[in-house]
Amino acid sequence: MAERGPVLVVSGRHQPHELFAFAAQTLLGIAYLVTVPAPASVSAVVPAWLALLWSVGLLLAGVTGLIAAKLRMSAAALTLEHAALVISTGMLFLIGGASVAVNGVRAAFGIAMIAAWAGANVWRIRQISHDLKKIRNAGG
Amino acid sequence: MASAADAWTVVLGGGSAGAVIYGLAMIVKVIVAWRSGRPLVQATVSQRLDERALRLVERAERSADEAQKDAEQARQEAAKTRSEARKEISEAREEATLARREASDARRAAEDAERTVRALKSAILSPYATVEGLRQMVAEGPGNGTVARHPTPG
Repeated sequence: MAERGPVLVVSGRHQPHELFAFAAQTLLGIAYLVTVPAPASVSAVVPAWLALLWSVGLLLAGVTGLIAAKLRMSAAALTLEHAALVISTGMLFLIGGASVAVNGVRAAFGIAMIAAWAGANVWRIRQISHDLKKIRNAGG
Repeated sequence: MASAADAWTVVLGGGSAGAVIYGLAMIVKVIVAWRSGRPLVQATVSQRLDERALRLVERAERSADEAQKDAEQARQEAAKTRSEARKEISEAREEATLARREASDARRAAEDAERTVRALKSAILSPYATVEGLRQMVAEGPGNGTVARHPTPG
């Protein structure tokens, strides 16, 4: 049974933390692809192709997220934001895991920040999934 | 040692590569829908809702603008009418004052004329009245009633 009537999307798409994170990922992705070598922890535990994939993923997530924020509110914009957050979370998982493997508790602060960032991404992914489901139901 | 690195590679690589593949699939889905010109069902509904809301807001803003304009016009007309009414009342008051003053003057003139006539009547009846005295009385008014009374000749 399709749900008719107005759809209220309460979760905002322009949270400053999210936008700044996307911008930072774009810049870092470019930097790691062009000049800056991959982080030591990443290079230590994963092969070079995976480190390259990590840089590409950062750039892809950042650019996609910024494009999604620029688009007007629609299911396409939410889907793009969803994709950007999924990729971003994967890249955070890689750097966080590598940091845990190499530095252990000495990198507690960095690991905690990465975990918080990834957790916020997962939270937002759930919000978007919920909104997309509501829109889909309203569309029949 | 090598097996540990391999394990990390499998775990981290699997997670991150999976995320990239999943995200790319979603991006491709959006791009394909956009390129084919067939918007996603979700997008259609969402955009329709957006557009409907925008139209309602625009209509409300237009109505508010028109109402404000009407109110401003009504206020201006009321101010103009009030100003004209005040002006007319002021003019009417001035005219009334003038009319009152003219009436007062006319009454006073009539009283003077009446007094003159009475004095003339009594002067004419007097055996001592002279033509010059009567003329002077007509020209200057009855005064205190003694102007027409000239001394007896001789």
